[in-house]
Amino acid sequence: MNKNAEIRELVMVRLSTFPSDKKICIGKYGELSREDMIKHVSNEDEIGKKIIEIELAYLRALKEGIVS
Amino acid sequence: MFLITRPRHDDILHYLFVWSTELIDLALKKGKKVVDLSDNKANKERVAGILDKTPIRFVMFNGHGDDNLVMGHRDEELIKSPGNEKLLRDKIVYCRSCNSAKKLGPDSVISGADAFIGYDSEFVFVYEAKSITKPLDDKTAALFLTPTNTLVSSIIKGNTVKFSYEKSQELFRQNINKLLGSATSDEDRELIRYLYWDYSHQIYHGEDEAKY
Repeated sequence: MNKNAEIRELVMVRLSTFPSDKKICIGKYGELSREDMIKHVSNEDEIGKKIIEIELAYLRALKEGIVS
Repeated sequence: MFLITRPRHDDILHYLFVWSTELIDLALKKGKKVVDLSDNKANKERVAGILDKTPIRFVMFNGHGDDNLVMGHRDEELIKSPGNEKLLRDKIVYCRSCNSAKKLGPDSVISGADAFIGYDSEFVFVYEAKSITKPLDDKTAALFLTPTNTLVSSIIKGNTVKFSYEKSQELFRQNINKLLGSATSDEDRELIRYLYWDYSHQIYHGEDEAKY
């Protein structure tokens, strides 16, 4: 599995714990449920890439101790 | 005078519309004159006309956006750079929209805006699906929208842009810390990454000491 595929898998696992009774609004991409987000990440489309970007930014913040 | 745009043609904007009501109430209570361009009144002709002919000092745009623009009703472009960004001259601007602090923000300041506060990437928030008819009761959305409302209410109260921005940032940090606490469920802990996103992409351009 290449690095991008690994990251995608990791993000999909993380998203599986997103609250099922909530939705997320990501600007122009509209409202998304947990299942929608997982599908977009899996499809590697524009929305999926944005979701991965959000996740990676958070992981970097954790690593750098900005969020702890 | 305070100008606020509140388009409401989708669920996201409906939330921002309702959450903006307390800001209008506060401005009126503080004796400010308010121009509330809601629904189809949030159109380019009205916005441009009012910005051009009325002594507006503080502008809050709720709407979708992009790097160089902010939109109104049915996603009509209200302010765009290059274009009509000079209409923001001598004003304090807050864009509760995606991306507009990336290019429209700095361009507006170059064209004479005193300050421009916004987001240099997507503005994100999470909400409870059951609360769509009662957005103010939505405690999840409150985690995201209270820090942004606090920024606006602080400016309305006469605080500087820098102070108001830092107050908003502090509230984002507090909400992140709240979710990091041991009493938070694993599911709610998932919200931290999205709060962190808004916190880290909220920026301002222009004068620190600009005041309403």
